[in-house]
Amino acid sequence: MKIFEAKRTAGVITADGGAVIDCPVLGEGGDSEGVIVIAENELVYIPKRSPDLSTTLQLLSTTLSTIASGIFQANMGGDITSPTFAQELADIKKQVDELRGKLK
Amino acid sequence: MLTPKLQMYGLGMKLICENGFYKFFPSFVGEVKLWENKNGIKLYKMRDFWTFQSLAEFPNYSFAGQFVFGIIPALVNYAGSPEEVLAKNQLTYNVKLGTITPRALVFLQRLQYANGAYLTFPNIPQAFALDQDLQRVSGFEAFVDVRLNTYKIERFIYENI
Repeated sequence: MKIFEAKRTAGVITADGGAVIDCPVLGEGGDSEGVIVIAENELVYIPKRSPDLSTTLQLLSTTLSTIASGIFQANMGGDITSPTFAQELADIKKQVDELRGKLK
Repeated sequence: MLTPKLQMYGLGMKLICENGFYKFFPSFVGEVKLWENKNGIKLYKMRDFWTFQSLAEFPNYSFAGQFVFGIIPALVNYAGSPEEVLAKNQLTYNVKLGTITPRALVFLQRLQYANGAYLTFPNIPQAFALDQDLQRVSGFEAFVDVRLNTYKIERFIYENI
C-alpha cells in the first residue's frame, strides 16, 4: 500500500506530478487537498476535511458574536438597535450555505 | 554450496525470469562479477537477488497515463512490487535493447536454442518471445554456466498473458 499527497481541482485529481484517472473520491466532491491511498489495483482519494470543519467553526463563532452583540441592548430592556443586525445574520447564512455546497 | 546438478556444469548461477522480470541468484558474490566481466553489463542488488539496472530502478507503483519508466506511460493504476507493476503494465525487460519496453516489441522474436537435457541458449532468453512451438513464454527458470557464458533452461513458464 502506498499513500500520495494529492489535490482535486474542478473534478480532476492530481498526484505524483500528473492526473490520476479512475480514482473514486471518498468525500462530497469539492475542490480539496488530500491523499490517494493505493493498494494493488484499488485506490481512493480522501480529501482533508479539517478546512471544512475550521471554516464551519469560524462561521459559528461569528454568528454567536453577531447575535450576542445584537441582542445585548434588548437584554438591557431596549430594542435591537444595530441597523445591520439582520443583514449580518443573512450574510453569515449565505456563507454557511456556500460552504455546504463546497464540502470536500 | 553447489548442487550436484550445478556442479556438472561448473559454476551455476540461478536465473529466474517471471513476466519479463529477470532475477539472478548467485551461489557466491564472485559469480556476479564473473558474469558482469563476460557480458559488459552491470547487475544491481535488489532484495535477495541481482538484476539489471532498469529493473532495479523500476517503481513499485504506477498511475495510468503517467510515465512509469522513461517515456513509457502506465496502463493501470497499481501499487505492489516492481515485478507486479511491470507485469500489470504489459512491460518486459528487453534483452536486446538493454532496457524496459512494452511486451509488444518482442512479440515477433523467436527463441533460438538447442534441445537436450536442458535447452541451451547462447544468450539470455527473451521473455514473451515465441518458443519453437510458437507458444509465447512469459518466463523461465535457468542457470547460467558462467564459465561458458551459456544459459541452460530448466523450464519455460507459460502463464495467462
